Amino acid sequence: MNESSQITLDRVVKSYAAATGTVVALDGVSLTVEAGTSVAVTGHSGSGKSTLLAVIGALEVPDSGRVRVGGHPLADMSASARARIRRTDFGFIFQSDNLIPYLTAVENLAQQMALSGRAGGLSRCTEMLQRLGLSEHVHKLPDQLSGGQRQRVAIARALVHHPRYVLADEPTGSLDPASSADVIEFLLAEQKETKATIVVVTHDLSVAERFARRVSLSHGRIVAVTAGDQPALNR
Amino acid sequence: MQNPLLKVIDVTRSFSTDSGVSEVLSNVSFELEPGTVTSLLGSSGSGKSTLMSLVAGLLRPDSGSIIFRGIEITALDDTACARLRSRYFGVVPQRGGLLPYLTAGENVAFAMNIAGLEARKREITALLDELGVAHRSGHFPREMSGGEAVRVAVAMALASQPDLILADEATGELDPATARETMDVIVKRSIDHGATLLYVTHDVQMAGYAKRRFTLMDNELTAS
Repeated sequence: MNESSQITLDRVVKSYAAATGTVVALDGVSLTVEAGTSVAVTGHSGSGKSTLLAVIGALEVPDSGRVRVGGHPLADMSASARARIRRTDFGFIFQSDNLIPYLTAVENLAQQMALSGRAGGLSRCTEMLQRLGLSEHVHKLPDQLSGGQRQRVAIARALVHHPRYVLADEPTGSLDPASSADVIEFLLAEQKETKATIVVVTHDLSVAERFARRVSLSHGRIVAVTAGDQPALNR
Repeated sequence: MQNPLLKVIDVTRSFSTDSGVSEVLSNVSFELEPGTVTSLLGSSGSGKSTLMSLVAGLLRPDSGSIIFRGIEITALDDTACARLRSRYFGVVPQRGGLLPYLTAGENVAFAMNIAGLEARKREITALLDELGVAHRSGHFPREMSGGEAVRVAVAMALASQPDLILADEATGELDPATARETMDVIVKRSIDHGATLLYVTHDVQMAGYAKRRFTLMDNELTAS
């Protein structure tokens, strides 16, 4: 177990100005995600779950409280240090695949490798796509792939540079149930292999149930934590 | 008369659908002179995005040829095509094309890296400044308005110092006033950079920003 990949939030508060006044997205959230484990964060729209992911990924700065990744408080890092760990230590997956439309699947991965400065090149990218069942689609453009295949490429891109943390915001939000189950199982299987620390935000309870630990957010507060054995993978 | 930058000659393209084969482009021909601005107007499903993908070498025509700077794109393999695209083309995709986990400045640097160029902070700032979004350099796409995100996407397209900029409904998701303002910037900056701009739109008013206008209807291209 790699203890240096732990994620810790300590009384994190984040609010936004909205037309209707100030919205408190996170209201004193404290949470620890142990290194090499995965957690699903659930909650309705507006519960603060995407903001939670954004503060962990250094995409948002909390109003108060501390976020530590690998024991290092993000607030103590310079902007360039935060930018560096975002590129090298994090893998991000979003509801929209965000693939560069004029690059092939393997080129999309290669650009992520270049961004992170990791060695391995095209052979690592091709291997990653093969592991995700995309051997026949390595040189295809995003437009030539189905929604499920594009999201698998997005997952491959998030994992190709060996990130210590994987943050996924509604990764199955635009997929049908079968593709959704596939994508989550790929993600969990990869997690077992790489021991990355994974936080997945989802409003879909069938997705959340695939994770051993589940955190439920409501109005910016943690209202329930469920821990249990991770269900066996179906493959 | 200069040599055309791009020649599209008798291009035809069909797609297989559930109900059979559907021809979306039929013997389309046109040329683009260097440094010009051309719009391509068409309704949804008229084939304008298909034509853009063919010009960018992302799709292959069933017949006909496309020649860019004297090189027949349609005869290149995928690798050579990708190399040509990253060196000479700037693409502004329909939905921005910004990576959500990179700031505006980092997205522009990313585009420079894709083109094989060294990303220098001064050049990135200058590009964002030209597009009126230098103050957004350290901001993530989630913190920007739709118009600002499109401007960053244009900065990314210009970052590769392209000969040809292809913009596919770049302003399609903006409100009319922001769309007009953004289109104005795209046209001006393309001209400033000496690039040739080809953009597609379904909006007659947006098409009017170009001196040269094409319309795609019933699979055929007409000049207007």
